[in-house]
Amino acid sequence: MTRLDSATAVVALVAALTCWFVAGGAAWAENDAGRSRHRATMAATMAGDEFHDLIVRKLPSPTSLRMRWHPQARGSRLAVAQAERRAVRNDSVRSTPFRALAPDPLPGPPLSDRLTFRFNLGFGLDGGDPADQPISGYDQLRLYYFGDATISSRGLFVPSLSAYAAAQFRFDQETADCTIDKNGSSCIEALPSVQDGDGVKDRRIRSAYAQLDSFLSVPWLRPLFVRAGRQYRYGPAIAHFDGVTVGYDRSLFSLGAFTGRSVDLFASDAMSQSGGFIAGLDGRVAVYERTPVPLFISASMLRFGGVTHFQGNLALQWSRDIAIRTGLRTLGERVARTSAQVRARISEVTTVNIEVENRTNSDWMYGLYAIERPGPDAQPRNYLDLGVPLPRLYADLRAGTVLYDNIDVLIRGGTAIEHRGEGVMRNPHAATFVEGGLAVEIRPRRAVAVGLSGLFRMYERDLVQNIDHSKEVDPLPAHAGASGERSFVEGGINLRYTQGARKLTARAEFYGRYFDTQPAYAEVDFEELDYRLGGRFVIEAWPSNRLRLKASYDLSSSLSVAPDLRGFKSLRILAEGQL
Amino acid sequence: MDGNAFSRHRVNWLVTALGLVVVACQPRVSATPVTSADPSAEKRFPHGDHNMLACTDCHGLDAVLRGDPAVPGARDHAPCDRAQCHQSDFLSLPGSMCAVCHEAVDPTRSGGSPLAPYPPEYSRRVLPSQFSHQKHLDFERIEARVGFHVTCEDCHTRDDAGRPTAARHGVCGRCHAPEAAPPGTPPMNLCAQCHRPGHSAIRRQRRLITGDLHFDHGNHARDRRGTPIRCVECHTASPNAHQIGDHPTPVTRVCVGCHDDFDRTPSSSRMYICQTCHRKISRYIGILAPRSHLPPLERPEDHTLAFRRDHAADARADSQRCARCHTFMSGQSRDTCDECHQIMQPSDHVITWTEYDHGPAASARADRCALCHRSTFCVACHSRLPRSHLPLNAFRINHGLPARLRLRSCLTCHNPGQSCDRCHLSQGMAR
Repeated sequence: MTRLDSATAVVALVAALTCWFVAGGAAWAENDAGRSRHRATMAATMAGDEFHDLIVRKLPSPTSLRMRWHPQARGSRLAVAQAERRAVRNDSVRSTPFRALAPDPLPGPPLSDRLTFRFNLGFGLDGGDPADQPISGYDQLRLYYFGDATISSRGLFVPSLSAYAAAQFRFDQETADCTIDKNGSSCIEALPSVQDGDGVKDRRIRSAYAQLDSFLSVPWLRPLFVRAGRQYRYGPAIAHFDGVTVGYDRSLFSLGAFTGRSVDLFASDAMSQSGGFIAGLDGRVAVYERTPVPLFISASMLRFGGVTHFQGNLALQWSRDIAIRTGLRTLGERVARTSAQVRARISEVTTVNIEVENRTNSDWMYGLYAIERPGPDAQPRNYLDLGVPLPRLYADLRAGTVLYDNIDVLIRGGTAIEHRGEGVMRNPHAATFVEGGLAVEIRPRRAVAVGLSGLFRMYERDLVQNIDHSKEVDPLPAHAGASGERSFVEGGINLRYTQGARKLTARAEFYGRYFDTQPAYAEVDFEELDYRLGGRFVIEAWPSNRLRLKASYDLSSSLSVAPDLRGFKSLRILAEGQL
Repeated sequence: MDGNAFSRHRVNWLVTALGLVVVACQPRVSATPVTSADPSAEKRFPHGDHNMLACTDCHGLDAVLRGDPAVPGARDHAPCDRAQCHQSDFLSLPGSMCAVCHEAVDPTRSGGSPLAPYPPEYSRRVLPSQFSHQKHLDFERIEARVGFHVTCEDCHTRDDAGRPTAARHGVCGRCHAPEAAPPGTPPMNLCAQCHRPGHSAIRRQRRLITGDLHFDHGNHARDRRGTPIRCVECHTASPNAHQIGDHPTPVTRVCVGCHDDFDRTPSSSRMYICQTCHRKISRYIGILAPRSHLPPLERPEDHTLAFRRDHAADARADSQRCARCHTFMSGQSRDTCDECHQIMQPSDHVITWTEYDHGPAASARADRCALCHRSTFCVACHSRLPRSHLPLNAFRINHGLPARLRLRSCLTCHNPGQSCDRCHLSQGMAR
């Protein structure tokens, strides 16, 4: 340091100290002067003739009504309960109330609060008018009956026991004499249904489980719960199984484990993976609950079909409404997907979500149950072959708000960028694309809502160079991966009239879709536009608080890709009851 | 050290020194608590400058306990005109001191000098009390302390017009008078127990009934059937308010519940009649009814278009809230997504979705499908012949055109090497 630097530092230090003394001294002097004034004031007051003794030695009785506490109230059960409540407020373990396993002798909440039963029954009529001569075995109308029922209870027999069951059914009624062809297809239906699949049952039980919560009286064991039966569990993928889940759930952290037999409601016998062993572990730690560090960590592991899947998330919980989350999923020992998400709720009605995810070619094909491409074992049909998963980067932005306290707006945009290596065939099912959408809902009147929506998606496809030779059986196109949609546009408008929830609602919706498809051969000129128009009309009424009636009618225009039909129609009527 | 480096060091030192000077010269925080009051209120009467006095020096304790703490100075300017206080100002010609309380001082005017209203409109409360509605409406707690519980009207008594009044000191004194206050509760002779200096000041003006809105509590004592309207029906958040400052105003949607109900509201005051509450009806964009005015229970305000897409975090955080309206849900607090996702369809699943439209969407975002469907759901249909393939013999001959146009659809189920080559290669056409 030079002498000049030293001199500058000394001068600065002296100046700083001077300022500190001046400022501090002034404040001290001001306070001291105040105290002196106060002392002088008091002295003068006491010395003065008009001295008023303002010190209260005996309080006058209030002139208004007094409410005096009841002496016996102290130490009562209520006071003890109140003290306990204050204690548990400081301890989240104790904040979990104990619910006994034995029936509660005291009258609990009304039965309607403890037991809910809901069912709906309806019938549907689907149809499609043939454009020309009816096809042999074509079933122009399709009548079916469907229904759904859920029942849930909370503390019905014993306070700690709750249960939930959900089931659905659909029965088709044959409306035409169907020709059995050699492929085993009974009827040519106007509208296909998953119900037509081989081995798909008419009745399906989605969930049926019982759960014990807070059934142990030891305070630190109260967050323990056990759920047994058919259930769903969420982790790296959605696990649906018959089995048992045991968990320990606190606001600070949670742990859980489950095991059982996998359930598949729509699997045919050939493809069924039902009965496979499935097990998983999961846990989370909300670090932000107890420390200033705004972190949230979660991890879950799933074992199914001999493969272990792992999903880990690390979230920066900036506040209750703003979170930044990163995730990693592995399939076996390979990284399958990494992701990041920013979620912000700026106000009650304004939200912004940004998602970025990077998929590797180790990712599963579709979901947990299709992790590999169908092999020769699945012949003669590949069933659902979406090709080899290509590494892909996907980004999505969604933002929504309400303008003028009335106009509900949602805007979104996304892009998928395919990381196709050199020499790798393009997958027609996984093309690079960019998409955007907008939806608006306006309420010109209190009971009337008008909605507009639009969506477009543009794909990147290679130029097709396959030549179509007329009047010859052409070779299969070498660049099949180039075929597929080039763009897609969708627009819709809907009108809704409502008198409020559980009263009367009527809705009319009109939409149009247009697909621009790149043909397999360069010379094929797709003369007909691949578009469709349609509408949907729904009316929903609640004659009482426990009964709902609903009717919906869907129809579409004719489709260029289905020239044999003039269009589709569907009528569904259902009644829903709730007890 | 070269010249440039020397200059850089000098500048660094100078900046550091300047920083030190600036920091040191900052005014130091006074040890005396300062009230956080609105500048306009402070201008009228600077409570902060009177911190050295006890509250009862000016607001006589007897008056406080009587429930009517008079404005200081009402008794011939006492105690402000004490010798040790502002006596000299009162012995001088009228000046700025008079303007603290009077609008004007004119000895020639009959009727004396008019007082300016205090506190000023739109000011903040000076030393607002710390009051928890939650504590006072906790029936168990209050009963444990005093042997009975209090209700809203015990404190907010109604005036002659039936309007609830603000709770004043007299009301508090019924329980908090020094000889009556239960142990652990603030007795009224200790002002600072409630009026703590530094406590965040709140605004005085109305927060809801402003602008062209008009409202009369007197008309809301009973509904059309004659059933009393409980305070909590509108002031829904009051039982949980811990501070005066976080005491929220009623939300408009609670008005809708009654004003759309035939039984509770006369037809002249129905919600669709804007003049029921508004004096002016705006045109154009303002005529759009706010979402808070929508028919009752139609939908929570946060259920926007964006919410339909991004509700996972909210549903996970409080799935019991979902179950209040979506009655097919279990009301459990964990793993409940399937209860909706297995029975409710997205709006884009229209009549052509299953057979023709879902392919591009599934290719673009298979994850979205996987929220509700497993791959076996897809295979249940994809393993069957589509309607376009039937009758199969005819389709074998005529499949060329649709295949040329929509080859990607074929490739969803067919592997060219296994399905197509059998015929195409057998006719001698090399690929």
